[in-house]
Parts: sequence; C-alpha cells; structure tokens
Amino acid sequence: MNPVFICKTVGALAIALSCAMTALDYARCVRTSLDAARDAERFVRFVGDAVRYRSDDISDIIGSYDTDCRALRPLWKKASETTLSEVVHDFPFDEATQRIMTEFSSELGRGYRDSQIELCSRTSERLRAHIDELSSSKSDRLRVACAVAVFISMSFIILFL
Amino acid sequence: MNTKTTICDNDALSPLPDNIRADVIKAASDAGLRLDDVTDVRLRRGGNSYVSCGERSYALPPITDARFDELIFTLTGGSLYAHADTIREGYINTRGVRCGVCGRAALDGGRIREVSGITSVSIRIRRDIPGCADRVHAILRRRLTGVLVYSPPGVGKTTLLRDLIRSLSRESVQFSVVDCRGELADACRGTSADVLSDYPKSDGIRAAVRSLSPQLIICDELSGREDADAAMYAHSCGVPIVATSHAASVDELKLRAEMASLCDARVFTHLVGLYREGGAVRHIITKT
Repeated sequence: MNPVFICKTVGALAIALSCAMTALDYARCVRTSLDAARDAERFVRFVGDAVRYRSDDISDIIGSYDTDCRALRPLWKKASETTLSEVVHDFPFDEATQRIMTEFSSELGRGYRDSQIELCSRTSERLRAHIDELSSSKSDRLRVACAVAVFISMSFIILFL
Repeated sequence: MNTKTTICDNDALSPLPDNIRADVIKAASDAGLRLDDVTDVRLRRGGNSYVSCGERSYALPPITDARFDELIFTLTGGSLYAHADTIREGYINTRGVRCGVCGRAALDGGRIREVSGITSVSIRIRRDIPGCADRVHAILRRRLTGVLVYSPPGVGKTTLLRDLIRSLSRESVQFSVVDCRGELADACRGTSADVLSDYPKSDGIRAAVRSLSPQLIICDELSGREDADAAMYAHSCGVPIVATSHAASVDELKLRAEMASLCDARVFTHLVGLYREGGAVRHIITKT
C-alpha cells in the first residue's frame, strides 16, 4: 500500500476524531452550564424560603443547601465558609447566568427580609427565563456543533484523500 | 477591689473588617496606647471616627461609604436581615461583642419598623475585672436576695454581673441568667447557670421561674413596665432577682414609676450604685 496514502488516511482520521471530541466537549459544556444554571435557580429559591421562614445567617443557609449537582458541592461548601461573591466566579455558569448570580451575590445579605425575599424572587425569575432560553436552544446548538464537526471532518477527508 | 483588667476576648476587635481594624490598631499605637487600653471605638459614615481610652479620644481616618457598607456587612455576618430585631433596638451582636448602631428609623404606627442607612457604630470593648462583684457577692452570701445595680452607661454594671456569675458558680448556687443581648452568655460557660439566651427579658424571667426552679435570677438592664412586671412576678414567686438599671442615683432611679414600684415592693433589698472616682469604680450600697 502507498505509504503517502496511509499517512493521509491516518491524518484525516485524526482530524475527524479531534472534531468529534471537540463537538462532544462542547455538548458537555452546554449541558454543564445548563445544569449549573438550574442548580443556581434552585439555590436562589432555597435562600428565599430560608430568609422568609427562618431568618438564618446566610452562611448557615448556604451550608445547609443540598445541591443535586455533585460537581458543585465543593463550591457551595466554599461559599458557605467564605462569601458567595468570592466564589461565584468559580462556578461553571454561562455568561448570562454568571452576570445574574454576580448581581445576586453582591446584594445578598445587604438588606432586610422583605427586600431579600424580593431579590430572591426577582433573581429566580430572571434565571428561569434564561434557563428556558438555554433549554430551547440547547438541541439546536448541539445539532449545529455536530454538523460543523462532520463538515470539517469530511472536508479534510476529501481534501487529503 | 482588684483593678487588674484583661480584655475578655483574644481580640475584641475581631468583628471589624481588616482595614478598619488596622486603622484602629495604628491610631492606638500612634497615641502610645496598648490595645488593652482601648475602651471604645466609635465609627461614623463619612464623619469623625475615634478610638478612645477612658475620656481621651484619638481620631481615626475618615470612613468612606463603601468601607462603612462593608463594615455593616461584616458585623452582620453578611446577613443584615437576620439582625433586624436587634438593630431596631440599637445594636448588633457579633461574636459576643455588642456594637451600638444608629441610622434612619422607619416608623409604623409609632413604633420603629426598621432602621436603614446605618451611620454610626459604637463598640465598647468589654473587659473582665476579677473581684469587681465582691461586695455584691458578699450581700448574696449572707442571703440570696434581690439586688439592683445602677449607674450611668459605661461604668461597669455588666462587667459586675459577669464577675458575679463566676463567683456564684463557685458556690454551686443554682441560678438562671436571662441574657437578651448576648453579653453574659460567655461568662456562664462552664458554670452552674441556666442561660436563657436571646429571650425577651420579661419572657425569659417568667420562663426561668416556671420551669427552671432557680434560687436566683440574674438579668441585665431592666427597663420599662414589662420588665418590671416580670421582676415583680419572680419576687412574688419567691425567686430573688439581681438586675441592673441606668441611673446616677437612687433619686434618679425612682423617677421611673416602674423602678419606684419595684423598690417600694422591696423586690430589691439592696441598691448598689456604681460611680467613677479617679479612674476607679466605687460602690454606694443602700438598703431599701
């Protein structure tokens, strides 16, 4: 067999593989940021309920939050030991969720009960709207990512072979 | 009286944010004071802030709005809403240190609903003075009886109660401490006292009488009709009470109808006045 052909085949397959890996990684990122946004929304509602019914200190509230996302547990723990605003940038949020949560953390604990409940409810609504948008665009984005990956792979295969 | 004093906490300034704490330490050091000498720290939003040693005060750098907001955030443990009740009463209790605060009051039906825009924080650094309660302790050793300690603010009523709690505990007296401001609880650690923390004073006194069978009740700062009624209730149930109140003399004390009625009913058999004389605290004891 022609060694040049073998090299071209291996190169094309390697490029196709890396495209597939990139597409998979992108899909994982989309899912992770969606899960993190959902968890953030659940957390904000939890804080709102805790302030409304128990008036606990914010560190106790964060410490008692039981997240569904195992990967986020260390971050919530760190937030309960320091402050949410110090840790919020470490969360795997997408840009819009990050902005909403940064605003939320900068106002959290700085007002009285009614204003804090209102803050939680407003933030929760914003997050829900954003999650709906993320969810509806998720499958489209994944489809586009797959299509781009297949297109690039095919292009290289055609070009090389 | 033993006048050797020690700051109660390892660091009584620990509730302050690092930058303000550093300013206080620097001002004290520039004035040639040891941190142990500092008695008060008064912090004001944008205004003149001071660190005091007795009657002498030394200026601190001005505190900007942003730094003052951070101060309130730190003092409330990042949970302003959780301190709304005590802020309405004029203080924040943080890590066992009581910080007096004031700001703009919003009223609802003539009562304070909330205090917003806090502009001043006053931290009185608490000290333990072993033996300062010896004279009150001597009265109680003869017979457990009602004692009212009175003085103007800042002379040492709470310090006396804290020392008394330790002294009584050494004699295995079964007593209850109603600690609605969190200033006595740490003195009760490891003692024989039952501590009713954060109870409203009148509720705490009634709860102690009903359920804890104390030989004596100790509480800080009786003020108002409800507190007086609760003290009267304890007395009528045969439980003597040791309490404090603001007044510079017995005459001033009796200007308040509820305190006059307590004295007339002999709820307190001894009135102990504290006053400062040349830096030392002296006692005037009056039998009723």
